[in-house]
Amino acid sequence: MSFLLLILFTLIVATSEETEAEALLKWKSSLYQSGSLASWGIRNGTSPCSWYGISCDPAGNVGDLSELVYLSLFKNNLVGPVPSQLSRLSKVRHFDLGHNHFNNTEYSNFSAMPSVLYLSLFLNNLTGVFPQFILKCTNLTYLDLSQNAFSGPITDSLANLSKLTELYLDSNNLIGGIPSVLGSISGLRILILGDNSLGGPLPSSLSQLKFLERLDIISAGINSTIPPELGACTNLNYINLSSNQLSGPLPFTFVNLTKMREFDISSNNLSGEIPGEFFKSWPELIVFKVQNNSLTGRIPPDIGLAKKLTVLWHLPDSLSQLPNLSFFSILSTNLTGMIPPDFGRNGMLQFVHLGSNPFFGELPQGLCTGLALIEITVNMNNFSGTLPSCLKDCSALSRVRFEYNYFIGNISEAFGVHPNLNYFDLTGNSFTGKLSGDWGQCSSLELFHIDGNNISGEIPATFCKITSLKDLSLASNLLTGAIPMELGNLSSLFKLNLSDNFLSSQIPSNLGSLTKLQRLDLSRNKLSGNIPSELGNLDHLILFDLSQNNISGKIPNNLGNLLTMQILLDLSRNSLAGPIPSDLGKLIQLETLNLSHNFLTDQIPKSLSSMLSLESVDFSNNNLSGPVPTGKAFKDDSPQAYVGNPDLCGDFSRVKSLVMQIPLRIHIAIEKR
Amino acid sequence: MALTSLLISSCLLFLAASPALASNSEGEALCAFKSRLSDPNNVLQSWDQSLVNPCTWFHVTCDSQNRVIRLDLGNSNITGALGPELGRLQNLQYLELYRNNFVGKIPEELGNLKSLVSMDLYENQLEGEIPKSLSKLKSLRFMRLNNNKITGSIPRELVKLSNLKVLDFSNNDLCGTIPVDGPFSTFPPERYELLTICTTGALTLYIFTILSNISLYIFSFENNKRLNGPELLGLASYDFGC
Repeated sequence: MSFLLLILFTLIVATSEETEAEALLKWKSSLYQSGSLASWGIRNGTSPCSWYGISCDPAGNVGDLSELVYLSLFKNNLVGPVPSQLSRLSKVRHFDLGHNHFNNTEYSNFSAMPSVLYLSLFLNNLTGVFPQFILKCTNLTYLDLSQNAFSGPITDSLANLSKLTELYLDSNNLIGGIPSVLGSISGLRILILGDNSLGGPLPSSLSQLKFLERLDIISAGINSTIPPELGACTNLNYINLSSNQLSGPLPFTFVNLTKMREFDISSNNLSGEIPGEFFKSWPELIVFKVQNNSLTGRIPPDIGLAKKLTVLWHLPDSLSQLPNLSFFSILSTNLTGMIPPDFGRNGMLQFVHLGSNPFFGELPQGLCTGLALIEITVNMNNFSGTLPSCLKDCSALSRVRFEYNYFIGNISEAFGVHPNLNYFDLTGNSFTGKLSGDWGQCSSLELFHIDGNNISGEIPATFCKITSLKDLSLASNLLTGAIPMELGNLSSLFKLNLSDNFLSSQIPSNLGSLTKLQRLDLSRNKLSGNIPSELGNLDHLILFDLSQNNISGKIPNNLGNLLTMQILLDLSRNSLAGPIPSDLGKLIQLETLNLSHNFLTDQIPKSLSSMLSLESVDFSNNNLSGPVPTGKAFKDDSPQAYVGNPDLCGDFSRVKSLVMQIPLRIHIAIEKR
Repeated sequence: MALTSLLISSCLLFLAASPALASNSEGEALCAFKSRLSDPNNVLQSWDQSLVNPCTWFHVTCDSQNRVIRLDLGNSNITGALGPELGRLQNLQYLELYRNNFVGKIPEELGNLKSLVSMDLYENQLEGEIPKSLSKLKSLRFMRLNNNKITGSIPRELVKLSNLKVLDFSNNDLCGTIPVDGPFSTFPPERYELLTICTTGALTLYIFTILSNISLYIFSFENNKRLNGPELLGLASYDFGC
């Protein structure tokens, strides 16, 4: 209960007999709670000027209110009628009685308020027809009668208020349509008329409102087409015409509304297509809601151009009813919502692209009704649940991207034989089950990624019949058993990643037949046995990682033939023994070399100095001895690169010989080992 | 060299089925690059411009924001000219085009690749001069242009490449002299001392001291018959002998 009153309620008009103080105290006694007014009392002197909330004029009077310019009783618990005397405040400019419980007011006794600019009766219990006295307040710029129970029509005479910039009449019981004369209030910026029973058409005269910024006529029974002339109101940034009976198309002229930020025409009877040009023309668009209409055609792919779009938008249920919908694409927006459960029921869906949005929920079971699906890419959303069971029979499937969602289920049951399948990526979900041998019949498959799931069991040999396969990644799963030697038949393979599983047994030497291989990652498994020397035939390799296994034996010399090795050669954390082959020095493009945590012996070959591209080395935790090679990579690395070796030391012989020849500034740092 | 196969590759555009989506300029640049090339091994077959970005194309690597950072097309039996469009890949770090049949000049637009760390054009049939614009490649660490037919002199401007670590111009047809400033002497003189320069033919070894370390850098200019030795500062112009 706010008693921050700047002035007094004018029922407290001091009569000639009463002093101002007595009038104030009489009012105080009529209040329910007056704790804040504890300072009001005769005992404090007859002048109320020191009382809380009271200010006096220089003559010591609280004054009459004839000079009052600002009156706000906003958000109190005042009840009863609004006194007509208030309208005698001829100088008042700001008149706010909003958020009270005023009712039963007789407006016919109200005078015109010639100075008032701001008038608000917002949120009371006021009834009756539009108060006539307001129509004479011709200086009004701001008028708010919203959230009352005013009835009757919006009078045409409202156009007398020619200086209005903001008009709020929403949430009343107004009827009789939107007067077209409103279009003559040329300075109008904000027009809010919704939640009434207005009915009638949306007048095209509103197109005259060149300064209109917000048009809000929600749920007012409006029954017409949307006048294309409204496209002339180029200052519009907010349109909400939802929940009416608007019909016809979305006017193409709206492309001119380049300041549009929030656009909601949901829940009408609009038809036709959504012009994709809207998204190109509305760079500030944040909200776009068109659901619950009869809009047809496809959601324009250009919706991805509306970069600021962040609305919570449920995909139109009407999508499910589009009989011919075959292509549906929404990519990389901030749109969210669920796919309607009937989506796909038309049996015609061929292309569904929903990549990189925050959509959630399950994929509808009926998505692949008709088994016509060719491409389904829903990567990087928040989808969950199992996959639609009809997927396994979609024999036309070509491109499947489910990566980075929260899908579950058994992948062998989810998919079947897909002879046209070319690209298949399920990375980063919670799929379970085993790799089916049926995959071997997918004769067009080029990329197969199921990294980061819970796939178990072994890699079936039949899997390795997919000779078209170029990029295979099964990393970060629960796969067991041996790497099938038949993998060596995948002669098109340029990327093979089986890392972070529980694969055991030896590395098949057949992998050396994969001559196109550029990246080979078998790290973080339980592989044992030797590194097959055949791997030295992989002369296209740029990355080779066998780290964190139980591989033993020597590093084959012919790994030095892998002349294109560039990104990484990592054999660390194994049980490799013997010397580091000097031929590794031929790997002059290699940038990172990690041989740490093995049992390598002897010296680091001097030839490694010619590995000019090395940025980072790690020889730590071996049995190496002798000098550290020359070369920037071998010297500038931290000592961590060499720790855990008993006998490594730097080479000072050259330094010594040069000291003899030329005066040098050489600082020798001796580290205690 | 043979341009027998006139099968000019073009990027896939499934016009009938999935319509082309909002274009991605890096994908467009790569498709323009591909359009000049003959690709008998179909290495570029997956390059489909109807996709929203090139990040699922084989041999293209993107960062987490879907910008191209690597192009790994070494050893791919590709024939054709390089063209200017590659210069639009502003986030490209590794340009690996070695051991193919690339012909024509090195485009000066490659100087726009401001993120480039490695330029490997070695073992092709490239000709013409080394563009001066390559001196703008501030991040460049590895430049291997060896085993081509590159002519002209080594641009003096390349001494500005302060991060350059490995430079190989061997087996070309360069003329003039070898620069000795900048990375060609490799380090700013106040921090490092050049101990000695050894040359055998046109192979030059630079040996430096950096505090207590001794570093060896090999800049190879071997087998450039018209290339004279390190420039004698002030005594001969850098394009002497061209």
